[in-house]
Amino acid sequence: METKRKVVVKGERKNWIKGVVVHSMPITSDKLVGKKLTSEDLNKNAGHTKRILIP
Amino acid sequence: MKGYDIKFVQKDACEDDSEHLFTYIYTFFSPDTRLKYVARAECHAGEIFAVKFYCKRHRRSDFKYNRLTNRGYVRSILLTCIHVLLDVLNKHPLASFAFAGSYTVDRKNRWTEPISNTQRFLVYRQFVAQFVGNVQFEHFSYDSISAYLLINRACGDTGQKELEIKEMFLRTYKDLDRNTSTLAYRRSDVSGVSRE
Repeated sequence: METKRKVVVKGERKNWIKGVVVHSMPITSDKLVGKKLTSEDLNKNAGHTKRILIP
Repeated sequence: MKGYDIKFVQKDACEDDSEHLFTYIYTFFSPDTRLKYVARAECHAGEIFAVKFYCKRHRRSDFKYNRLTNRGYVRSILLTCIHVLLDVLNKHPLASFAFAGSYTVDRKNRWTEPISNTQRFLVYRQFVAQFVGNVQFEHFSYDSISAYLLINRACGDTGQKELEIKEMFLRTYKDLDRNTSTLAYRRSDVSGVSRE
């Protein structure tokens, strides 16, 4: 019996790396550039739903 | 959507001389997916907790944080992790939290996701914004390594605290090992540390 497989839309994984990649990446402070999120950023990230459990 | 009941298993001491001090280990069962999960809250110096979870059936895999179960109910599982976070917060009111969305490894089709803005990270970031406000915590997002910080405002200057946390993680984790997982930065400064 033929099994059904989920079809991945072409291009969805276009930036993925072929193969099971095994190599390490040194962490340096220049890679740890964070962005402090404002209320607007959080609202944008949350989308339409908000169920705040921790104020 | 509902979270599942968490069960506290143990406090596991970490004795590798790093700034990772101990780990609270929890388990929970999802009747929806019929799978057990393990959640870990790893405490680092300065009451910084790195929260991780994986499916218990993948516990022996090097890719346990990278694999997908494809059973769904992600939001219920993530809500359970918020319960873990609340439990830690009860024990440590000054706790700050860190998490990362590990890259997915599709071993069947042999594809690996890049580190930046992983699909897990994007889901977690949206979820945290929905459930955690910015009164008690300051939110920091690190898109290039798919990591996120929730800094407790009770600690005082959150900008200074962020710098201290980054320095602490840089001292503890020298390498972002693409074959391991989540906040799964291998500790290259400590020999003999096993992978999680």
